[in-house]
Amino acid sequence: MNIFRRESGSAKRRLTSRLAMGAAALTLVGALAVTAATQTTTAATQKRAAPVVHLTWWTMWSGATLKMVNNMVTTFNKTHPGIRVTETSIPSAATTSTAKLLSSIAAGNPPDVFTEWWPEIGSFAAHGDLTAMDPYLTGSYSGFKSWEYPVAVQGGTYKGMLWAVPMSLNSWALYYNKDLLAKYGITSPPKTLAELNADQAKMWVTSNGQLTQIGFYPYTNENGFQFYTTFFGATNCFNKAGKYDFENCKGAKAEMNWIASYAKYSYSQVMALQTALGQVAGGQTDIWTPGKSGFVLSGPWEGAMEIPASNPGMAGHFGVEPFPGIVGGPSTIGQGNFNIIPRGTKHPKEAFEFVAWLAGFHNETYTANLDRQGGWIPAGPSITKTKPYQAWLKADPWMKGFLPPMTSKYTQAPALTPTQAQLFDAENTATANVLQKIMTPTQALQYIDKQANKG
Amino acid sequence: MRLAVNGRTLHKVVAGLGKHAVLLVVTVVLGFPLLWMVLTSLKSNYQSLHIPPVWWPHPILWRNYPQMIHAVAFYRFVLNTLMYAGLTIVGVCISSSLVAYGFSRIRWRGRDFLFQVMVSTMLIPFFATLIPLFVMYRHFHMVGWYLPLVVPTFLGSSVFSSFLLRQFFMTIPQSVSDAARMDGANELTIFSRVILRMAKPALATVILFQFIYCWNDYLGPLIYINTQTWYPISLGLYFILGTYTTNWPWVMAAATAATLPIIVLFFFTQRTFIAGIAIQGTGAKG
Amino acid sequence: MRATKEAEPQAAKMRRGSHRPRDSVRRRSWSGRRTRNGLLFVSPWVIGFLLFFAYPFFATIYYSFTNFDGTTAKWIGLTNFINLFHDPLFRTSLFNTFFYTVFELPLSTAAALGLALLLNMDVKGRAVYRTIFYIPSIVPLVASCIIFVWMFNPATGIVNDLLIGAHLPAPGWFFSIAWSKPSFILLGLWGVGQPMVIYLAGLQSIPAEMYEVAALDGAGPWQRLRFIILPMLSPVILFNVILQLVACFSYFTQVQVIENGDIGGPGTSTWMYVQYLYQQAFEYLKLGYSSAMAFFLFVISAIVMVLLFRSSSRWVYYASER
Repeated sequence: MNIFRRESGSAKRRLTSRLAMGAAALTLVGALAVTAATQTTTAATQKRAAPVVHLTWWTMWSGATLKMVNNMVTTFNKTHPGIRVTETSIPSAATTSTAKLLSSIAAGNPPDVFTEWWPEIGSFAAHGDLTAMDPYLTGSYSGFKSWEYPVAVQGGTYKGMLWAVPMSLNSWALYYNKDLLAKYGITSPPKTLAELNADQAKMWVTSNGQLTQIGFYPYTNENGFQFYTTFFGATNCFNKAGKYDFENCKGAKAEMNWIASYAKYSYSQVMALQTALGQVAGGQTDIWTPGKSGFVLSGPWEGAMEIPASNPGMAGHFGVEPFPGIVGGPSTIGQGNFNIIPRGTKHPKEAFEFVAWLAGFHNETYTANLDRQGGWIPAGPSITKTKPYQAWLKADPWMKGFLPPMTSKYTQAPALTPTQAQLFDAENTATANVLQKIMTPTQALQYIDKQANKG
Repeated sequence: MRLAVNGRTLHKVVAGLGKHAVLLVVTVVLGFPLLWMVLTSLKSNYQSLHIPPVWWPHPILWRNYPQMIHAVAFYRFVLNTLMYAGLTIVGVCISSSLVAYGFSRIRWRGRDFLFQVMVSTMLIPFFATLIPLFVMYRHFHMVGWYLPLVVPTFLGSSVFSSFLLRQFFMTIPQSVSDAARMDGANELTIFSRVILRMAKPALATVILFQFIYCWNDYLGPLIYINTQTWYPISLGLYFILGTYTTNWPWVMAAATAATLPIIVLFFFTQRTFIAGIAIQGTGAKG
Repeated sequence: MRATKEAEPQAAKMRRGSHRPRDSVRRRSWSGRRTRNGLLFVSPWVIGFLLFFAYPFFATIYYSFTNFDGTTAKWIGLTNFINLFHDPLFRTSLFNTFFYTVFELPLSTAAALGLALLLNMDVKGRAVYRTIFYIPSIVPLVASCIIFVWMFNPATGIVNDLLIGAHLPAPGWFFSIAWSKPSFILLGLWGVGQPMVIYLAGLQSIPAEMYEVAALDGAGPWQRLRFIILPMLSPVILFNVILQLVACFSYFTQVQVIENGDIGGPGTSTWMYVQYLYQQAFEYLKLGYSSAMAFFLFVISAIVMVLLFRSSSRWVYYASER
């Protein structure tokens, strides 16, 4: 009668199999629940043993860097018996870590320490989502600010208060490929901007209509306008009313015109080549690492991590020198990965203790070893004078291109403002548009001002 | 007579070849990127980024797989995902089938309106309501583990499943329910004894999709889970994408390893929901 | 007796909610009980809706009239909406998202349906084919983006190698302003396995007797498709279309992975609506503005959805609603 019903035998079998699956799932749940329970019990017993402050630390590190970070946490916990840090890595291939942080601040259960990439700090500080660190710069920490690089302090200060401390600073300099320089008869790396423009022009190679090699491009790694501002004196262009004013800033105009001079190359071809070489899904391998570019603006991690991982054959075949800007001396942009203490954390004092330790304060030698592994510039100059760091400088002479600009008077950090994130994005878009000839340099600067000054 | 039979047979053969040709073309188009994924997973990082592209890895780095698996807490992450999937499957099977039944097999006032309200809850993206959603879950003390992801599934949160089951339930003629009602069965009995049995393909589809959804879901776990040891495999994969360097073969190996269990699951269970009812011209009756 | 009635090519005699007096009398006398039963069955969802959905949803609507930044919200009336309509990036993202939807939706529906029909036939090795066609839709998203970007790389990818070899034009795919959205559409089509499997499951629900009777009536494959398969599949088609619509309107993760920091892709050609929403909310802390965007998107999608459901009375055949 019922034409739709399957044979009852198979129905029974299916029911049995479903029950079996359900049972298996429940067993799994049970097993995991037991594991969780035992872990919590152990933690609870430990807790009762001595009053310990528990800190949670959220980071966005992954891969090899994450291993280093895990070691740091273990070392801190060992050397600070009153504090126990648990690190959670928040993968962010789609930059979702800010969403998680913001929700937890809004809900009142934020992590105690968070490692944030610099453009967000201004917005967070301005909206009251962070805890200021100044109340904790007392006692042994009273010399903290003067211990840091001035540019590190500048990059973490908003309205006179300190909101962020770098875990690692980035210094940006010009990497050059010695073999390519030799190939095109360039005897020494460029010392002026004009020399750079001329040298790199020789190196563009197209075969079968496809780009296979470039000299230099001011938008590799999607690092555009904002990364070259110190070389032109265009980092903090404000007018008298305190608004961003790149349009009337001499250095900004010079920089945008310089970028525009590279619009003669095919933007899409460079982007395609870059992606083919690994610039996708958060990948950082750029055209220069596999030897397809004469020059690139990059940081110490290029030589310390990327080359050994992606192209070990490049070792010894490259050099680094300060970018030949027009400001009259070596400079670099002071930015990096900053540690912040969100608003609403329960243990800000211990959180700051951890943050200072991570930065290397009274912890110089340990940090120096880490910096070498990670290709990091530390937060304070005294670390660079330690034995391990000096040994690194000796072993990798190309590192010398990075350090002097850190204390140069031309080096600036972008000022923290409520619209810093908008500024960063606008500078990126402006660069891309100028290089695609969608905007003129003036229009690009106007665009940056408009976006960055929006309330 | 014989000629006519031969003509039909020839037609069948040509049609068969035509089908295979199309299937092969589609296989190549859809399967080729998969082949690339697997091949790349066995290369060295240098080879994977080489220009011109390297096709066949030499040497074949089988060790990418064990290395990648040991680089992250692979087994633990998989276990977490299985738990997540298992719990939500139970929730979905119970609540979504009940809800689907209510929206399909009983005609009541306001049913269609309420149904459209339910479907419209899918129209607002997750990120849009994240802050109040998160604040609410925190208020319920549910944040930190899988609770915000599991508990709602017991309350019909998987509109996908409810919607799908409802559509399937509506392909069963009303006369089936009427007959059972006339036999004196109440709705619950009709639901469990009659309708559910008939909607086996749909239920199996829902279970499979819920499993796969949990397997690949990374947004929900990312936002709500605060302890790394409880991460599902979808988040674990992101650990392979390094901050400064990326081992692309490992990324591909991780993707392959994450896909393999589902392929096996699908291949062996497809009979459950797409069991072959041979559909061909049932008529060599001539 | 009943079996024969069922076996009539019902689809050829679609009825649209016929009301017979006897039905309405019965309905009136039982409607209270049916409403109670109906509500009981859907009560899990109602509870879940009230507990977990209502507050966040209405809060978001409220926020769209404020300058919410995650912590404080001050009422500013329609300011967000006014700014929205003067915002060129809003218009661009809306256009891009609509463009993607308008092409992806019909193409993926046709592809999924076509493949399902093909794989429903008695072809040797169809279990293998089905599995291969399905796998792309379950590959982790990041990996599938990477694979596609490499394969379609205009400089080094296999696709352009083949096109150039065949003396066909080789576009810039993800890096060309004109071809970037089509490239994402292709990426979406690669993952057509999921709707395909749903159609396959739906095809299995079609009772074999219908085909037998159709064969008796002398129906050929094309008529079988038009009068049996499509109408019987129509509930599932509606389902897939709505699901695809939701996915298309909220499309952005793949774009973000492939752009890798080059926001908006070449020009602003791949700047998507939800991507803009996310940026406003979690990078610029402009949650009032992003809530307004969410509200706007919701209204538009709801209108489309209602239109779809209204039209469904014309082309969707529910065997239980006869």
